[in-house]
Amino acid sequence: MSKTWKKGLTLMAASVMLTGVMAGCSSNNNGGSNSEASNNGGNSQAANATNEGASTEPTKAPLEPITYTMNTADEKLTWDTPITKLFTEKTGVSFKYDLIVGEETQKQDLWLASGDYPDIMAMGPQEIQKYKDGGALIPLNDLIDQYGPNIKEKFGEYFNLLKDEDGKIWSIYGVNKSREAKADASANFIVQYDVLKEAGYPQIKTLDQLYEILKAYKEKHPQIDGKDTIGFSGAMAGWQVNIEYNNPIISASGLPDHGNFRIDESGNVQYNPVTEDAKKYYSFLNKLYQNGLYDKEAFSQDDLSKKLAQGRVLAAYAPKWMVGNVETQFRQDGHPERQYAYLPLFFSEDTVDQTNTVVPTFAGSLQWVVTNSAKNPERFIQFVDYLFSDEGQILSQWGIEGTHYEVKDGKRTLLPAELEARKTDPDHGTKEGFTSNGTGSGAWFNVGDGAKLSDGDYATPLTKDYQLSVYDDMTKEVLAKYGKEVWADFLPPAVVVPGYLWQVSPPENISLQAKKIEEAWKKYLPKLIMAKSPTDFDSSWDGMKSTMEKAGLKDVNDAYTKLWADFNAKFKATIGE
Amino acid sequence: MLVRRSIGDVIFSTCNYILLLALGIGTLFPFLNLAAISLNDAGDTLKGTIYVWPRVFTLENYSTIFANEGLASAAVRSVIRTVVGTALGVICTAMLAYALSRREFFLRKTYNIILIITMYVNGGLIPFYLLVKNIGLMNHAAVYILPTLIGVFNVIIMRSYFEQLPEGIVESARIDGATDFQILFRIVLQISLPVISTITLYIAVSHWNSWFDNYLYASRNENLNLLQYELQKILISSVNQVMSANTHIDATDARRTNPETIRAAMTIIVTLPILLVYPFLQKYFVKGMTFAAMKE
Amino acid sequence: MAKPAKTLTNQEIVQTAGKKAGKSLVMRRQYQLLLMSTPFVLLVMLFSFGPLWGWIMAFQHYKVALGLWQSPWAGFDNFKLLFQDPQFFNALRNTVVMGVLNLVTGFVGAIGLALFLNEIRFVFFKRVIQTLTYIPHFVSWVVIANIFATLLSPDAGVVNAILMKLGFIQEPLYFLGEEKWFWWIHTAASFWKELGWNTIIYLAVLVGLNPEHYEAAEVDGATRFQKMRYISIPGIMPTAVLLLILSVGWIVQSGYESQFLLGNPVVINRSEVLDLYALNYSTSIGDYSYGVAVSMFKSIVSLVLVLLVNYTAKKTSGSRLF
Repeated sequence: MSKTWKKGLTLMAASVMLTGVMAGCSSNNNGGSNSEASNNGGNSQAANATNEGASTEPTKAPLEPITYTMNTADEKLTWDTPITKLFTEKTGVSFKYDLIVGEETQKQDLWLASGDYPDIMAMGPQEIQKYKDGGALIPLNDLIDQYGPNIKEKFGEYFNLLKDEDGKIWSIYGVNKSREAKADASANFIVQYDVLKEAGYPQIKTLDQLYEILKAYKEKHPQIDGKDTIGFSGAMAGWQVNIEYNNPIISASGLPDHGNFRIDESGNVQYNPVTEDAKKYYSFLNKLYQNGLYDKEAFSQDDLSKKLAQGRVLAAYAPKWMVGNVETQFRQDGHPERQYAYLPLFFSEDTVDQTNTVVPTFAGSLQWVVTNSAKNPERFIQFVDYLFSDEGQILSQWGIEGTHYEVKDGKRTLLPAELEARKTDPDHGTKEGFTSNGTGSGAWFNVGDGAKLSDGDYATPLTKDYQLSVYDDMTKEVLAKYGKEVWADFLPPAVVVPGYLWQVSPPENISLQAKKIEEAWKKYLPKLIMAKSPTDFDSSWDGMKSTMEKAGLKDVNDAYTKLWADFNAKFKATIGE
Repeated sequence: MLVRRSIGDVIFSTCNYILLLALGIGTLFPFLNLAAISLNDAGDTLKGTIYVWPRVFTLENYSTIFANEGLASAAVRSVIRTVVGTALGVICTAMLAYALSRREFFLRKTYNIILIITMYVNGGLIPFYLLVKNIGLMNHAAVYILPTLIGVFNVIIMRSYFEQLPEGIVESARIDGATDFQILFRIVLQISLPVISTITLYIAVSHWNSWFDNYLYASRNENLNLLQYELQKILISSVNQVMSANTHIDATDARRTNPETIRAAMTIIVTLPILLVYPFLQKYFVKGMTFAAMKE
Repeated sequence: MAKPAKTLTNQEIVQTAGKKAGKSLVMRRQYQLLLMSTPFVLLVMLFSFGPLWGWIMAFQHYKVALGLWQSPWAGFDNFKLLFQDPQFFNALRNTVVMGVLNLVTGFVGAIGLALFLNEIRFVFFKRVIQTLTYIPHFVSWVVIANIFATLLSPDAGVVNAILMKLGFIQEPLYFLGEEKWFWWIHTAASFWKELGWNTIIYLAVLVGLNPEHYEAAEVDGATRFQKMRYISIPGIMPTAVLLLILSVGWIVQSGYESQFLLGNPVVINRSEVLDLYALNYSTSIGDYSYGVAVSMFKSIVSLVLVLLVNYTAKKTSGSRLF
């Protein structure tokens, strides 16, 4: 999961939130892409200056203690844990966290403006660009060459993806050695177990089929717990608008998630909410609305999970993190039948499902950079290199043998006490040291859930077996009706793609147009969904389209098309395909 | 005082009492609502429609907040900041307001115009941040006091109150040879307690509630963390927890709070002291005033 | 206000203050007043005018990485863009409308409540009500917006339930989902939130009024309304006018929190205020310059408004800022 989600919520909590970062808010996939295709040449002057500082420092004995400062948005993050203490024992390195409790971009801009930044920073491509332009970063090529054998080994053929157009490595992030979707992955259309049960667990594949079973259920049960049954819900008022009104279109078209854009076979990028598929989806919502199946309040609510928690929403589009808490409550209340099935749904029976993708690297909204205020940057690279080693991977992902895991029949297994602790203590991961600033996927530069280390065993504990162990009986029963074990089984085999558009630094100079287009979208959305007649719907659609065209839709599409082409060209050049 | 009551008077009084009572209940509602949510189970709260009584009672939200180690010392710091900041603020505001209220003061008009302009212009966050850094206030306790020492709005309110005081009092003191400092502190302040108490409340509340200066200018000095900042941290971490629902360290069953209930408990924690302290302050000021009035 | 004869000496000094000799004499006589004011005026100036170099950004395409010295110049481009954008004028309209609505309701409400509270003789009751009415001031907009959404929900909200019981409506109304309600809902929420807090200053002034006036009026057999009309209202008038002048300047500086949290895409045409507009098209897309341009525009409008109102007030009521 992208850390930008957290950012979104954090902002909301601080109530300074605007609609979420466009890219981040649609990033409900795991993993990421190569970010270095950011669209400008580096600042060689800065690079030289910082290189000097890096190389004149004599290499010190590796175990002399050294402390780096680093930004974080995680209040609980601490170095005082069993696992991180072992890191220090091995590398001599420890961290002191510089907490940002408000809007991260704002504070990072202020730091840059005043030259007051921490030694190591975790941030997204746009901020990295700013810091690079400001001459605040140290290029890592030489340091990795000299001190990063494990980094090079783990990245393998993808190593050059770390390099920017100027050939310099400005940031480091995880590499994905797994070629399958995470065991806890799932489709995002959700349908209540009880609805499926009443309909006799039908195989549903299209939105129209969903409509039919919702209609039937609502006719039979006009009320749930004394309140009106809601067929389908959404949330338009806050940053969730992207999840609720853009992402389902992409999913229902069976396309990979590129945020608010879609990419056709010839590489043309299009703003998704004005495509023909978008029209199809909004007319589906319009049909729900006209037939009293759509949540009347969807337009003014900002958090869908609150509505879901009432137990009377039959279906919706909702990523699992939005539903997790809610389902726990249903189970505790003795209503497991109100939990949700995560099903892939499409516009038609013959939509080809290409939604399940994996990317070779975890470049994304959290990459680690070294600023010029860091002393002895080579010590930091040595530290990262340790994390990339198999020993470091096992320590950071599985923990300490005997404390967190044991080796049973040659396989690493979490100890029962550890499993129990993970289920009962929400802070367990932070207390033990499993949690770090994000590195693209999970913590401490993990190499992907489902990947295997050189010893042939899994790199992380998130496996199918683990996932099964957290399901309740009813969930297992519903899954069994469909002949599946976990929700991830509903997904097609994963396809490797070079990256996602939302992970590449967006093109400059069109941000104003893009914003205007986004605003037009939000303005017309309610009109489309609440349209009283097909003519009404069509005129709103035309209105939205022409407003966006006036605002520079073509410029935006062209800029992104070029961005994508550049990115792919670089990817091919790097991998040598 | 002799009170004669006409029928009109009685009707007016009755209506007035009823009206104000209704208003009081109306404004009490959000407080009761938050209190109820703060005492309600987090999972249950998600379902909504809690009004003034918790549905599934729990103290979990408060115990989660109070379990944070830094909270007590941060609260102490907040109290110190509020007391020191308010005392300095009120005294300095009073001095400036007094000078500006003196009709003979030759810079009166110039200063007034300058101060009014400062109220409506704003250079933006980045320049302000650099200023704070350049004058060495970053991560220094003075950053809590200096930038907000003088609220121009408060100065103007106080100035206008001073201007309405009977001029004879000041002038006769001057004839007796009193200096301006003596006049301000011995006479003017004594007879201006209503406005002093108001300004005290304004300044105290803004000190007590502020966390943004802590966050922006003092977050790297742990010895300067204030209550509001610590509470914000707890809120953020509660938000972060919701987001970790999808990771393999999955403790959904164990999460007994959520951002909504934490926010409710937070609001109660910071508001309650103000509501409890204010009536005493008010009483003290009213007493002080009648005392001053008797002395005259 | 009657001035005792003794002030004349000082006023004479002021009148002679034009000449050099007179000025140094004044300064010597008024050194205590200077001491009391100058350091604080300088302090306020430091923190307010000090950062004003930031306004230069409005004439640049400011980039954080490049800083003020290296960012490219833009001339008046940002302002041109601003004044050519119909959305900006829509935001300006919303800001002014909601600002005026808040101003009017806020003033009438606060003064009215202060007067009514002042009539309460039962001190305990008065104090309790006063304290209760402050409460919403301390509750953040996130929570207030939540409460309003719950109360106004078309789906089992209390307001709709009552209106339907009373037979005013057949179908629940979607208050937060229709443009026409937004300004009123926003005004009601702001009114309710700040009503009690705004009365504090008036109550202070009322308490400070000379009790002898009331006693004399009582002896003359004045009714309550007469006392209100002839003693209380004139008593708070100067403060009210002062606050009015100050607030008029703040009409365009509305903040964005309340509008953002109460609003949603359906009502965006009515809810987008200048600060929200600036946030959308400046901070959130990293274009600081545009935001500074909006901020400059607001500052200038504020100052012009304050000067105008101050001038009018000086002419009509004698009460003024400076």
